[in-house]
Amino acid sequence: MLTFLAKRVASGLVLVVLIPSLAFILMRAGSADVARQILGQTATVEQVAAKTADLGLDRPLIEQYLTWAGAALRGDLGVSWFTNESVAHAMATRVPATLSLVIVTTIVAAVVAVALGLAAAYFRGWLDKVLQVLSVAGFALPGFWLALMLVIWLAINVPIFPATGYVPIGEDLGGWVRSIVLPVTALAVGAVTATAQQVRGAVMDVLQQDWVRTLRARGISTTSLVFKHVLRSAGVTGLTVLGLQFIGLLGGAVFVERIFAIPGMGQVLVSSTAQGDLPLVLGVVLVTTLIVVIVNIVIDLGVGFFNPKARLS
Amino acid sequence: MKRQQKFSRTVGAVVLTALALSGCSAGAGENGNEGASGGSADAILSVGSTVVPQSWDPADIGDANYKPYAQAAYDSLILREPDGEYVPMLAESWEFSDENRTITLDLRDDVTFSDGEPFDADAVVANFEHFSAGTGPLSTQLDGFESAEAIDEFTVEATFVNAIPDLVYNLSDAAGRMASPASLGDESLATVPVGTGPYVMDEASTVQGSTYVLTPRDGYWNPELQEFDAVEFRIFEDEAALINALRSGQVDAGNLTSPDNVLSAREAGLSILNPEAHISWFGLILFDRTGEMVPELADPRVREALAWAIDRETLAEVTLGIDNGTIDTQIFNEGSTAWSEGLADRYHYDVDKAKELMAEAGVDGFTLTMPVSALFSQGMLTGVQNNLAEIGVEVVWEDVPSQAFIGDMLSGNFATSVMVIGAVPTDWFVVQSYLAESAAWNPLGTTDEELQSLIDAIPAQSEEERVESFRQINEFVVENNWFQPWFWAEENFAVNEEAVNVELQLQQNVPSIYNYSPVS
Repeated sequence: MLTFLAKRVASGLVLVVLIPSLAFILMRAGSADVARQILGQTATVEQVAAKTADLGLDRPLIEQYLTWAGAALRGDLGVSWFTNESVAHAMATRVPATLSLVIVTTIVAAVVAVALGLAAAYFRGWLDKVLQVLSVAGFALPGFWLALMLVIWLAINVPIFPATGYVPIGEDLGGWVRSIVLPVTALAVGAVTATAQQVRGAVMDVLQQDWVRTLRARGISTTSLVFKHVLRSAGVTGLTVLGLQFIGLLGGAVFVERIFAIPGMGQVLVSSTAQGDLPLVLGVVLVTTLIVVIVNIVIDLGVGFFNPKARLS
Repeated sequence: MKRQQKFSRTVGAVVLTALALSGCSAGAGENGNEGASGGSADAILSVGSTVVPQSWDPADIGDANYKPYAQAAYDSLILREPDGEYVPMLAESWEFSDENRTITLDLRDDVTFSDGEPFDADAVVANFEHFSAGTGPLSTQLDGFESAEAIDEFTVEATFVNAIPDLVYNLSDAAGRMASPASLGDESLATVPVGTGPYVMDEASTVQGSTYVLTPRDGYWNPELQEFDAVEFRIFEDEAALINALRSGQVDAGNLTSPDNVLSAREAGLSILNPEAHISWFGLILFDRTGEMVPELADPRVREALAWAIDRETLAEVTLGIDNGTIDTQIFNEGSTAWSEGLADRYHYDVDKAKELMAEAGVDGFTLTMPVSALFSQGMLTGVQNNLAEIGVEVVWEDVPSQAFIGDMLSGNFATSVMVIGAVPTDWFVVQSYLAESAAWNPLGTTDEELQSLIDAIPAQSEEERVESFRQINEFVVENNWFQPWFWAEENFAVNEEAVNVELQLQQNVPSIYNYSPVS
């Protein structure tokens, strides 16, 4: 198990180095006149040149990259070119908002999807048919449209939840819950439908296996059969799908953060990329890569827990 | 039985939680000033903005939408009233001498900075030196700054190489904002302001780039300006989110650009304020007036032909959905003394006239390569292309990334460009930015003897004489087609007048922070 973990960590570290480097190349390849962007339309050519030098953009690319990488290794992610805020501080305020959305959505998706998938596979009949229809509907509804509808219905027409904004959990628990209900709902619909289908399929497969029939013949209780044996076997599929959903949601959070004006990583990544705010972009990419790598390792460990054979591979 | 009790308890807990949460939220829509951190009956001004302050250092704060941020934290030496009149603020009076090259300011003696430092003549000297040495977006406001000297504790004298006709405006704006001398040069000033202003940043409630919260400062010299218990600026990357926040009462005011959002705001009962004088214009810039890149453009008749070839009304309609009321051919806006009603419709859509001029100049046709980015609607670009094609001018669009668009255009790579230009607070600023030989918007450094002599005379002139000079300069630009504005953009400022009163500010796209007051 330790070797398995060590291999995963090593490949994760390679990604942590590789992906921000790639982001650096892509950002600088499409390099715009950042200094002009910062100084505005009326700045003179001399002012723009001075700002370019100040940002180090007049130096060779490799030197710029090594300077950033060296500082990042020491834990210094630099300062945003457009807001002058330290990137580390920006991440400290942005990461909790995005993780709140993604983690809560994943938990909601896990609970609802497992319940629905399990029920549909076990009871079949009309329940299964309803789930199939809802799944198609869930896939077909664009997330951003749903988010906008939720705002109009439940924030503007009937003002139950705030239309925009995010309240940190440490500041006000009730406020935090209210601020994430609509965004999480908008995100969860797609995640639930995708995961429920996978769980349904996996449970149906397990239910048809010989050992399940044997257990039934021995008179094992339904609760024990479903929750102790079947779900554990089908859990590998569910966990893998949920892990992928979590990673997908990190990207999906971008539109939700924009519609609900939530100060998360997705929002800052879009605006900083559009502006060419290199330190901030690299900071978000680095942190996101770290999160993805950690989640992948956790999923692998989880799969190993459910299915010991996986550890050997 | 046990299981049933457990179930009932669970259901009860869920119901109670739901009730508690809905109870918490009941006031969300009722209280327009709820703020980001929960409901409150306090008078909180919540302004929605689509721009993030790049820096809180007075030398680096931007113009236009950035003004209210700066004003909340920094007093300026002079205050500009909504109608444009200048009145004392940190300076009780000011006086020019030495052919307007020297200004003497008498300062208030009862002001302190938020870090406890006293405000005095030395502080003004330090701020002038800091501002003029910087590379901020408005650093030209102290162009030619020579020196500043504290005559006594509360009197300061500043001398310039040449007179700056805009100096009073500038001292009511970026150049006049005073930060504590102890904070100047400190990196933290970029994120946390240290001024003498009515409000101070509440760092605990502020999320940089998302929400900026400022609270009234104890011991502020003019409590009348502290009308709110807190001022909150909320950033919206997306205007759709801003309109939702306005409609739900989370935000009290914000400017809107999309006609759909303006309609939606009106339907939601918000007031839409439109400034009397517009702030920005759409049009064509002819950088190459001497034919360096496109020889045909050296002939004034060819440049004039381009002006007659454009169907301004249709372009305004397809670009902004606005009526003919904003059609204009001048780069000076209606609030300026240089503006003339007679010049507003100097050119209109007349293809025959345009063709005649082309024929007179002996030009059959030519090609104009212009930069283009996602900044402009396809409808407008197609319109321009078709209009100019009618007189034999082929337009070739060269795609440039949005971020690089202005930089490329101002590097002198293009003979002409379509553009939307905004924020022109004073006539001298227009001259300096667009018309002077070294102006940023004159990348090929074109100059003209007649124009230059008008510009050169302005600094030493009296107010009345300057008005006449600016009028002549305006006429020169329109007649010689250095710039060809087509129409001015419609500005819409949405306000929830049940929560706040607000007055627009002359020649600003957003009101100054002093123009807001609570309804109750």
